[in-house]
Amino acid sequence: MPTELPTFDRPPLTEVFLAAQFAPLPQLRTAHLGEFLSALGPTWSPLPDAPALGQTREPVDSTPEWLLPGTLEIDLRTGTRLRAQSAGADRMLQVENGWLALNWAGGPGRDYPRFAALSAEYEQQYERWSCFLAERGLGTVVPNLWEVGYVNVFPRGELWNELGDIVGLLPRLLGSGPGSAGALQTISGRWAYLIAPGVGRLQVFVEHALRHTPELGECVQLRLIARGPVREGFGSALWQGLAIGHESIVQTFAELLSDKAKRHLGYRP
Amino acid sequence: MGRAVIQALITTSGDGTEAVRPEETILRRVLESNMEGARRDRISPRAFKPRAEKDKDGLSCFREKYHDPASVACAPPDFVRPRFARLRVRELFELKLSVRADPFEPNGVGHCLIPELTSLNRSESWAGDLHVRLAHELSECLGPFNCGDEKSAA
Amino acid sequence: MNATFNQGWTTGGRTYDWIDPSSRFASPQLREWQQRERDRWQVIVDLLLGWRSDPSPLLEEETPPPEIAVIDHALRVCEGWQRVGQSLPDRVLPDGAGGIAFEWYREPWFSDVEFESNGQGTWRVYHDSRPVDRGQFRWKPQWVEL
Repeated sequence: MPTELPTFDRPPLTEVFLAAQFAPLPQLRTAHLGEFLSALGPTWSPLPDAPALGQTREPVDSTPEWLLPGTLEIDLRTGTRLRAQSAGADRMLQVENGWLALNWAGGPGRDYPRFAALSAEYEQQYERWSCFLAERGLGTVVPNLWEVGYVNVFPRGELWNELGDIVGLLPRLLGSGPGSAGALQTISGRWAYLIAPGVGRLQVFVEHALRHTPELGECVQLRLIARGPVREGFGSALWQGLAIGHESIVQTFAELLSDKAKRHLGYRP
Repeated sequence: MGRAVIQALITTSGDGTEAVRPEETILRRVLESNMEGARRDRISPRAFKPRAEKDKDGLSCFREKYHDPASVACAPPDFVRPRFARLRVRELFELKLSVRADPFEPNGVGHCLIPELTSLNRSESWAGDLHVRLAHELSECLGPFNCGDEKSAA
Repeated sequence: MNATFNQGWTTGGRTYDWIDPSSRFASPQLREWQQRERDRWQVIVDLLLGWRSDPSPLLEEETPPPEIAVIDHALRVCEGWQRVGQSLPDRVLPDGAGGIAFEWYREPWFSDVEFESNGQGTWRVYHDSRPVDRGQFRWKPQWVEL
C-alpha cells in the first residue's frame, strides 16, 4: 500500500470514532467510570447513559460469521456505558467496563482535525484511563479489539437529487437496478471486506435516511467501520490496528466515490 | 441382570480379557439428548465426552463381538430410544487412541475403555477436538432400537 | 446494526431515521419463514423450560441436568439471539456437568457454544471435523470472596 494516503479538502464527515475493547475488569464499577469522566474537568458535561456494548469479536479469518458479534456476553454484567461531551460538543468520550471510545462530531464550521490529531488525543485518554485504573488497583487494560469508524453524509441536493442518482455517487458499490420493479423508494446495504487474514475487517454501510440535524432532510449515510483483534494484548498492537483501519477506510472511501464526487469533495490523491 | 439376559447379550465365547484387535468394532451408547434436535443424522460430540462418574478411567464402550447392539439396547437400564455409535478400532489406533479390554462381572464381559479420554481431561481442548472427530468422522450411528422385537430400526 | 459499534451522535434513532423500514413490505413467503423461525425458537425455549421444571427425562438417562442458573442464562441468550437474527442452533443439550451446549451443523462446518455451570463459556468452530477457531468467555461475573 502507498505510504501517502489521499485526502479530501471537504470530507463529508459527521462523525469519526476510535475505540478499544479490553477485557472487562472484575472490580470496576459504574462509580469508577463516573469518577474517570469527572476528571475531564468542568468544560465536559455528562450525556445520558447508554447501554453497554459488551464484548464482541470480529471474524477476521476464513471462518464464516456463524455467531453474531456481541451475542455471547448478553448478560455479562459489565454495567452501563457512561459518556461525556466537550464544551464545543465536538468531542465525546465513552467508557464502559470493556470499552473506551473517543468520538469527534462534524458539522457546520467544523474542520476535520485529521486522524493523526484524533489518534494522539485518543492515546492521551487511553493513557489517562490506564493510569486511573492502576492508581486505584483496579487492574490493567488488556486491549483485545480495535475499532475506527468514519460516518459520511451526502444530503439530498448535493451530488444526488433522486435515489437513482446514488448509483452515480458510488458506482463501484451500486448498480442501476431493475427497470421493471417500479420507482426506487429507499436503499440500504452492507458489505464486509477482510483487510487481511487475522488483521481486521472493513464494513461498509450505505443507508438512505432521514436526518433531523442540522435540519430535516433526506441524506445518504456512508459508514466505513474497521475492526480487528489485538492479539498481543499490548498497546502498540492497538495503535497499529487503528492505523491499519484508518488506512483501509481512507483508501476504500476514495475508491468508492465517483470522479464527480471526488472533485466536489476536493480530492487530493 | 439375570443369567438368561447375559446369555442373550453375549454373542461369542471368551472372557473379555484378550487384547482388543484392530479389526474389531466397539459400541458407545448415545443418549437421546445427544441426538435430539434438527440434525438427527449427526451425533453430538458430547456423546463422547467422558462422564464424571462412569468414565473415570476411560471412555466406556462395549466390544461388538460380545454384545449385540440390539440386545444391549433393550437391556436395563431402560433408556429411551437407545442408540449406539459404532467405532472401528483400527481407526481409533490411527488416532493414537488405545482400546483396553475391561470386562466386569456379571454383565460386562465385552466392556472396554479408551483410556486416553477420561473425566479428568474431558474439558481439555485436545480432548474436545477428539470428541468431535469421533462423533462426526468415525462414528456409524446404530438405532434407535425398538425394544420388544429386538430388531434394529436403522 | 448501529448499536453494535461505538458511534455516539449518529446512532440510528437519535439523529437518523429509516424512511421506510423494510419489514413493512415483507412478502408472504418471508412472513411464513419468520413464523417458522419463531416456532423453532419456541421449541428450544420449551426444551429449556422443560429441563427447568422437570429434569426427570434427563435423570432417567443418567444425565446430570443443567443447573437452574445456566438454564435461565440460556433462556436470556436465546431471547437475545432471536432478537438479533442469530441463526437457530440445530441442537441444544446438557453438557453433562450442569451446563448447556448449543450446536450448529453447516457442513463442512460445525460450531458450538457451551455455557458451563462454573460461569465459563467456550465457543468452537470446526471444518471437516478439524478445529479452526475457539474462544473462551465468562457469562457469569466472578465475585471476589473477602
